[in-house]
Amino acid sequence: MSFLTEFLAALIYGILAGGVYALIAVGLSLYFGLMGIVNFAHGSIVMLGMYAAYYSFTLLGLHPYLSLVLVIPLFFLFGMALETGLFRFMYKAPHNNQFLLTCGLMIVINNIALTAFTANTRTLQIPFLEAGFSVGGIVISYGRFLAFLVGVVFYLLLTLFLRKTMVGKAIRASAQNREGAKLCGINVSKIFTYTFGLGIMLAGLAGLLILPFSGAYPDVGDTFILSAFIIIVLGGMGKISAAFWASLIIGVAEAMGSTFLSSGVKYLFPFLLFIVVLLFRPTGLFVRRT
Amino acid sequence: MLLEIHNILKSFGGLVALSDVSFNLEEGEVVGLIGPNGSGKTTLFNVLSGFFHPDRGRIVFDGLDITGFKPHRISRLGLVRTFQIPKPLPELTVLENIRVAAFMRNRHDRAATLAAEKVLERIGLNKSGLVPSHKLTYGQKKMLELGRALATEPKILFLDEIMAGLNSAETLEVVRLLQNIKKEGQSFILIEHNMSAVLALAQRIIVLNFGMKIADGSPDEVIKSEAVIEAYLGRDQ
Amino acid sequence: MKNQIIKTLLGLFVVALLCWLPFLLGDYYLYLLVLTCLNAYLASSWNLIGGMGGQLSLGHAAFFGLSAYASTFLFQKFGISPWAGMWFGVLIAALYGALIGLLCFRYQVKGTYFALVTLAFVEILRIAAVHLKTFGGSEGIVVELKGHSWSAFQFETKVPYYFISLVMLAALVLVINYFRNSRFLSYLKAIREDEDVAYALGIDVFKIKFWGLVLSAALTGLGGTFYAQYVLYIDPPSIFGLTRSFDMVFICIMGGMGSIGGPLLGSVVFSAFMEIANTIFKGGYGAAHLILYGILLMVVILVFPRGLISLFNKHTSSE
Repeated sequence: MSFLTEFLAALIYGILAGGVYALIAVGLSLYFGLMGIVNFAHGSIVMLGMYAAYYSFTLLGLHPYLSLVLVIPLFFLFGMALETGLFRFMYKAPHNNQFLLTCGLMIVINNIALTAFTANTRTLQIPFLEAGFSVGGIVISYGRFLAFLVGVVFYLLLTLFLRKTMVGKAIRASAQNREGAKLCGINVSKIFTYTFGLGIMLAGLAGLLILPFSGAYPDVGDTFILSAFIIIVLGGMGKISAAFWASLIIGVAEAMGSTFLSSGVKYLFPFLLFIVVLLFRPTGLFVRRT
Repeated sequence: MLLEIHNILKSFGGLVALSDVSFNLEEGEVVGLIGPNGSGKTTLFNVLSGFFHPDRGRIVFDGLDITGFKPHRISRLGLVRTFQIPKPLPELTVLENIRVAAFMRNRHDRAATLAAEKVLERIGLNKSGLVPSHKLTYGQKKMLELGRALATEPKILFLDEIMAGLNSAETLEVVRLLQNIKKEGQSFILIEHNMSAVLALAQRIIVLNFGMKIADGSPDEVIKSEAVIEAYLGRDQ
Repeated sequence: MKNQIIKTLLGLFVVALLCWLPFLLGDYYLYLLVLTCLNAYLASSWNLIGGMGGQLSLGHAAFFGLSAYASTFLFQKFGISPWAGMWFGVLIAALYGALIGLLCFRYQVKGTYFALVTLAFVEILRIAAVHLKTFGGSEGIVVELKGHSWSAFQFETKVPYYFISLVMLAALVLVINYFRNSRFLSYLKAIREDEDVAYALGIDVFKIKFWGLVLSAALTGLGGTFYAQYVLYIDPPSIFGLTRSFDMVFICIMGGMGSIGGPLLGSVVFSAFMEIANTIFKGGYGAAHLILYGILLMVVILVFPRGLISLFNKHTSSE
């Protein structure tokens, strides 16, 4: 393969991956921007989404893109439950404690998964999704391509929702100024619940989309959470459009690293990238400097 | 000359917070810094104490150009500020709070503790020494701000609205304390909205409006100054 | 005067009990006891920068592991006694701490960001350890058994290990206690409480945080070498794993961050808890004890944010 082909392959692959990362990062960014909670367990939710899709297929015979209909409301409700049952009590606590709480939650979720599903990697073989089409010598699997499309569609839907609907505007208002929103009659408490539900829903959806091309195992969330954090820090915590574009950038960066770096360094690359981004731009690249 | 401030310019993005501010302060002087809300008083304190760096201008403290120095260095040199909204070190006791400050001039913990206890008595909080500082009343927290600053044995003290939010009894206490330290020759700059307190303490008043110095003189001169009256009351159109 | 006598007698009694304890307990409980001492030691080391300094490091396993690997490597490859190797290990750990401190504190990386960066720093080491064959790769290193040998820091029975770990713990705790009102620790706590105020009170925040981290790293490293010589086997997950870092933090939080007795209390409770959990869920319940671990962590943070020691501290400040 020529360098150009490899480069283009990495570019395309990275963008496709980025589109799905976007769902994860945007969800995290959405409720972080509103509630200020850095949720370390977000990756574990993605993992649950993968298992949800897996068992929908094996137990109910539902193709992942059909079980979407189940997963979306299920995870939305799950998110709301998490907010009302757990996170609600942590808003006044110092940030360190909030973060540690989410670490505890991650441990609980991961180990419940380990106990319930065992450590065996679960994969889904769906012939259509594994087949691919060729673009100039580069093979793109339908699975990744569709995941990317769905990811982008949902991102656009979310943007529309936030911009055009009353609830969406209420969310943005609450994120910008909690007290002011309350004074306008917005039930900020409910908004928190819905927003968290949204964020979790997107994470579950991401898991569902990822399953066809990545195996599910209890700790798989760890890889996603790291990338999600890099993305959010890069894009500026709380800005979802920035999170979207940062996702594409990170997707490409990771793909490039994977293709061109030697096998040892390649695994270190995401972490090094993470450190560099956090050191040099903790408020994100897209945030205007005041 | 203890403090010389030359042509300070500070802006945030497009907003100019301080524009060509200059003045001097002699040792032993007490200056009141007044002006409408948003005129840049606290910003000036932030710039002088090193929390912000000026875009332009120089600050000379005790003969040394301290422009651009880090805040802890400026503190150690003797220019100490308090915070407008009191910031106690919440989990530490009142005594521990002051002790942290006392360590600046007292290397060893016993000396620092003794110095802190003296300050504690001076500010009248000796009964609350072992109370975690987050449990103090607002007025006590303000006293603690003052106490901490005093424990650093400052050459010049910047008090940012130390009397804001205090009731009349508490205000009287603070004024009395400040009069005492003034008698001891302590220089300080007082940001205050409480005019009677300022008049009771300050030998000189500087007025800021929209980031510019519009008056600098004795209390009598300043009160009569047209520019000052206009700043506070507006102009008859 | 009477108080003093009573205190001294009580102290002597405790010391005597601690000395006699290993001979009372069976092998299994002695094993637990040593681990409890080690955990308390590690948690106390973390506590310096984490609890007292307020910098939440989730990557302390990096220091633990670097020292463990360094001293073990020197022992296996060059026959250098772990007693000497451990100082080298401590140095490496301190240097890594200095690197992290230099980068993070210079660039004002704080709070959750700092926690995440420390995670990245330890993950890098874990992945590197997995891929580097010279250091055993994913199989780790088995420490060559030399039987009972002081110079090789290996003993047939657990008793010497117990006394060593006890001395380490006691020394650390006593020294921290002696210096609890010192300028350094007071400054560290001030930084934790409010950095702006710290600056205003003349504290060189960077310097204090930096040395706090380096010191904490060095101390943690010492624990790493001890562990390597006790368990006689090191591999990336047990040494650089997330659990290793989390345990230190969790024990400290559970007992009481920032206090001197907190890590001790936390370690005892933690060992007791894990023992009970393991006993109840022996065998076919998968990772149930870990689920409980996570739940316990959440409960402690929600209900006892100042740690269990706050139950004993109702009348004084939290220190």
